[in-house]
Amino acid sequence: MIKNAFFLFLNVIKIDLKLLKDYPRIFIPLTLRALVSLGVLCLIYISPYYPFKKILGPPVIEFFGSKFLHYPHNFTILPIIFINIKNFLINPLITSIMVAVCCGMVYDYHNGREPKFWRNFNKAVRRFLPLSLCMLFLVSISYLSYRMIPLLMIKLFGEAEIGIFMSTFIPFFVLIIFESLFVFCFIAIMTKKQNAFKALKKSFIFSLKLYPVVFFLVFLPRLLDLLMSFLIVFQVRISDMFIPDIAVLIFVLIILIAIISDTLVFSLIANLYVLSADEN
Amino acid sequence: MRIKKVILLFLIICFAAVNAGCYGTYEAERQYWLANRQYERLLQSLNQASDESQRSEIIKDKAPEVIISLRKITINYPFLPLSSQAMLLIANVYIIEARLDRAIKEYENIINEFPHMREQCASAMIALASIYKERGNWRSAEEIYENVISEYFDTQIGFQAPLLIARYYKSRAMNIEADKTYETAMNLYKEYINDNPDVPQASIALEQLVNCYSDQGEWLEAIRYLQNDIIEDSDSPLALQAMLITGTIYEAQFNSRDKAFEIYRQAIEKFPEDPLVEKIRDRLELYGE
Repeated sequence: MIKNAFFLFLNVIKIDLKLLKDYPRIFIPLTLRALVSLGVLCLIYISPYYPFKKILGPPVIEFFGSKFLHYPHNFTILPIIFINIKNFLINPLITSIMVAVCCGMVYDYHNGREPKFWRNFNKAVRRFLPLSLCMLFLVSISYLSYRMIPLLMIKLFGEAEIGIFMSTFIPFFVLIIFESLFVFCFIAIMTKKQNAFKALKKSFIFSLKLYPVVFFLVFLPRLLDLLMSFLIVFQVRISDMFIPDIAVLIFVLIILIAIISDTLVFSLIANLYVLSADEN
Repeated sequence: MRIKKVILLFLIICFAAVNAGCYGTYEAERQYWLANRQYERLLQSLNQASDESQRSEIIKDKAPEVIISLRKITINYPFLPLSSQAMLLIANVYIIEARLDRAIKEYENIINEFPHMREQCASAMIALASIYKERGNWRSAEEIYENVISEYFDTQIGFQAPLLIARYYKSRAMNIEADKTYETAMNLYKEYINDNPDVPQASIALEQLVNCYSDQGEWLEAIRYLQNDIIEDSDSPLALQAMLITGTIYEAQFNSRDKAFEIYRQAIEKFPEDPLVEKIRDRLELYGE
């Protein structure tokens, strides 16, 4: 049983790497998402600059205060604004579609068709609502675990270094556990035209059957994201060592790394889905 | 092909957007912050210097760079208030370099070009007067202090001017002049506090007034003034400050902890929510009160 799971795990990785090597265009959907994220980051960064201040300044003043349109205070709110926009706008509106396109392209490959971006994009746009709802569900879990667990850790460990490490590690693991359970929903929507609830249920049942394999297929690429989380945690210290503007570079790096980690997670999962479905 | 064009367009827009705003106030703030950090690092290195030769070496190495960074702000953004702030720092670096004539010129430029920047002008004038005083030109120094009192008295630095005049006479043991100038200073502070009890600057005026009492050793008069004119029947933040000062005087000057703690307890009762009271509460708890 364990041996079979291990071989399946290795087989999926082997097929996925070959697929990504033969069709690097599978990186296109999440690269486009990265471009949108970079655009948003750029808008936040330039919001204190004239003439952008005229349009982008009032919301910042309204929510945070006028102090945060001045250097270097704007960099203290840059992560907050960017992470919230990413979680509640980019992820449900863009990432949901792009992840589905990525899964659809892998599915096409296994069905002997050329993995085409536009065909899958049109398909994903038509299924926008369930995709978006599923993404919101995952985002909510991520948001809750990254909000609640650090608070608990600070209560337990105070401001000690161990508390900082635990408040990054534990939400990460909680997120991986939940993501592994519901990650198949996107490919289920793309291939079976299911609604969000049914897709999440199907993903949950499907994932439980192969849970250790799914967990590690999600966990390995997400280690890259974990490294990036530490960059966010130590962003203030890094900024103190260099200049506050380095916060922007940190987020650019995070966005670029997310192209690789997200493409790997969803292509691996799509491969596993197709291979397991074939076996069944 | 289409995607390549989109990416290229996106990069061009980002580049143009960032460059478009490069000459605004924000960029000035950025340059000032970076230059100010260089200035602070210079001061830090000087504080850590082990001997005079190392100090001279640091000044020779780092001071010109700091001046160049600050000067860029005054050249690129001559009309922004930050320029006056940068000029103040430049003058400070000149003083560190012992180039007092350049410092004087810098201070004069601030006073002439930024008369509306009250805090910066007051700082420049006080610093200028201090240079004249050091050079033995008390007449010019006193004239500048008088100007500060007439034009910028209600600024953080400006409040120092009357006390600095009095302290000069005291340091020279010119007792008649010292008494007279202390009296003038105290009247100025009392008048300001009386007219503006609720503005934040009143607390600075009160500090300077207490310094006047302290310089003359008139602790009982200080307590009497604080009790009768500020604390009594008042629940303003100034009253809290006055209570804390009174407590400190009882503790430090009269060794009367009981009396001090009684006043602290009154302060806690009267201003339970004030953050200043938190420290006092901790202190009382430490002594089991």
